[in-house]
Amino acid sequence: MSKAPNDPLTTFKLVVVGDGGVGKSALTIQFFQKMFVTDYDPTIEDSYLQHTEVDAEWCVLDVLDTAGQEEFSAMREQYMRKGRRSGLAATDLIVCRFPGDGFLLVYSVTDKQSFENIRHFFTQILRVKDRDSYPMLLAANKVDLVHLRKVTEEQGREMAAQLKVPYIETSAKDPPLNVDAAFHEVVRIIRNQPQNGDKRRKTWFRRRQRKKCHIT
Amino acid sequence: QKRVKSVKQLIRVATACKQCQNFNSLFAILSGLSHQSVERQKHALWERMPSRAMQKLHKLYQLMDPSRNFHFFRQILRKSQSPVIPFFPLVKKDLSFIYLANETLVEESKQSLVNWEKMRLLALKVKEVQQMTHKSTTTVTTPTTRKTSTLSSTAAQTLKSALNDSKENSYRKMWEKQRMRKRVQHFLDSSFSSIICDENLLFEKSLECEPQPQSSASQRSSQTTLSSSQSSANNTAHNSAVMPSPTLSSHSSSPSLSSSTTNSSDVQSSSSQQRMRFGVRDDTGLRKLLALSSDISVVHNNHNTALRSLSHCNDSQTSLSSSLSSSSHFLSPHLLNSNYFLSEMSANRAPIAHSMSSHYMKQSLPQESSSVTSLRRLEQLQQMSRFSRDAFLPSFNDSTTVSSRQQRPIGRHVVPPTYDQTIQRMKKKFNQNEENVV
Repeated sequence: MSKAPNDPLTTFKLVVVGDGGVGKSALTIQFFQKMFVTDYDPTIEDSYLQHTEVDAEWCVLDVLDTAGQEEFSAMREQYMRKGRRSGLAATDLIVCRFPGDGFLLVYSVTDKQSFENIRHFFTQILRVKDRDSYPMLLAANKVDLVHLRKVTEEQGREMAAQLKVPYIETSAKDPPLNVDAAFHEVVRIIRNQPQNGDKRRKTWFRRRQRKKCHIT
Repeated sequence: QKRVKSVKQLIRVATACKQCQNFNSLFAILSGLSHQSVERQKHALWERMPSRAMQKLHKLYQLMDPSRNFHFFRQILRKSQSPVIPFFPLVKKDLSFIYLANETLVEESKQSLVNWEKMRLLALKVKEVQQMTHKSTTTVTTPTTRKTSTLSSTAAQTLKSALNDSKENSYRKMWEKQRMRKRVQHFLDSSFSSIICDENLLFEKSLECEPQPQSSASQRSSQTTLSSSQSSANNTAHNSAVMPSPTLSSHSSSPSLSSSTTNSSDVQSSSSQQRMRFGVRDDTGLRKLLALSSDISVVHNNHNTALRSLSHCNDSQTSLSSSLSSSSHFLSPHLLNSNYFLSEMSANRAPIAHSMSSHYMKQSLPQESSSVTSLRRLEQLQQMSRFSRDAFLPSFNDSTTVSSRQQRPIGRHVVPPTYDQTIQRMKKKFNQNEENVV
């Protein structure tokens, strides 16, 4: 935070998606509540910003949670495509590089349907991003509820292998399990895709040039 | 091209929404335009757009940039004056996060205490939203009282003689209203039935408009996954996207009888054009537009028939909502929207309702906080809308026809000019657009 003014940190925009009631918000809250000890006011602008250190490199995480908005499916798409759009808008370009957004696909191990729906989210993201692969992480939430578990770890790993995304088991209940690890893992995944980032930027520049031509 | 034209018009409507501070519809239109099936048509659509429209669009997009917790949008929302339709999903998100992120009970020395900070936050948020539904009180109250006093002296004399006459008129108006309502409903029903809710179908149609470039993965389109309840498009995306505006303008520009006839013709033409295919460009935006039109038509009904019809309008609203909720789950925010609109309008028109609502405002805190402990957040939201409706309904039932007749002229005068102006502006715009398109 101290070096923010002269050396802008990389901002990673993470989006948490998943069915309603799988505990997305619980994950996000667990991740952020370290800053807000007593009361958490989500209307403040910085309430979803987090400065963290991943692999000895500081970065800013701008987390977008779709909790409470599951039925606004058009919104979801907006979130997914957000990275590209804000690149076009060219407002906070100086502050943020756009290496691409990462996604946290959350399902609940107590809810079979949410597990099935992961596939839909996955295809939707790929379609919106127009790519074959994208930084994503499959998170099996609520693993603390062992006796209610309906989706086994094997099933989860199988799905992850099919979609070619990493898999992690999380729980937001006290004591939290893998919550920070999940978010950090997404950052790692994003960082490990340098060639995609370059491609992205190239296309962005091209588009920008084209746009400029149009205007003049 | 027609597509470019209709998108241009959508952008214009979006700017009008921004002027009216109808942020929900604004966001709806924008997210429709940025739907991926629309977005991907670079050559067919976006490259042909004039640069000025694109600039406008980008400015709007910037407004709804979700980075930093909707930083830009919140700033604007804070600045804007009272009658605002907020972006509903955001309100919902805030509420749910306040509810979930803060403990209801705080353990302190083996005693569990109620977390008042949470209650305060919740109440604050609810109040804020409520405040948006009201006209700023300073502008409203003064003319209201003045008008009532002048009116009561004059109206009392003419009341008896006018009683019989106006009774007939009122029946006739009610009948006309009834017809109007049916027409609007029919129009909405017919358009909703033709909305495509299947993401894959949408994508295929988009491919029809502009084939996929070789580089991007074509196998993806062949994956047959059904993303449930995704935003939808219309077979007649073009037609219907343009459709609402004529309906709207006819609604607003002409008195109920003539408007009902034009309306019916519109409905017919839309149904006759349904077989034509224009691809998928307008998809969600179209539906949002429809929702927008429903908002405005409901409001406009209010406008025409003033106070007496308000209780009536509540009926129509419920009937609308019942029909809509059955047809589409997604529309609920817009319904709430119209709720807001209604409550806002009625607050302007009826002093009684206003006092009622302010009364409720005083009570809101304890009620909300008690509901928090027992109910889930969704119920709170429903409660909110229910409250706003319930608060007005009894007042109209109590005030009999006589009193409401007395108030009717007031209603017309009380409407602050700003609102009328914005409506007028929209009317003009719609008319222009209509001409352009035709």
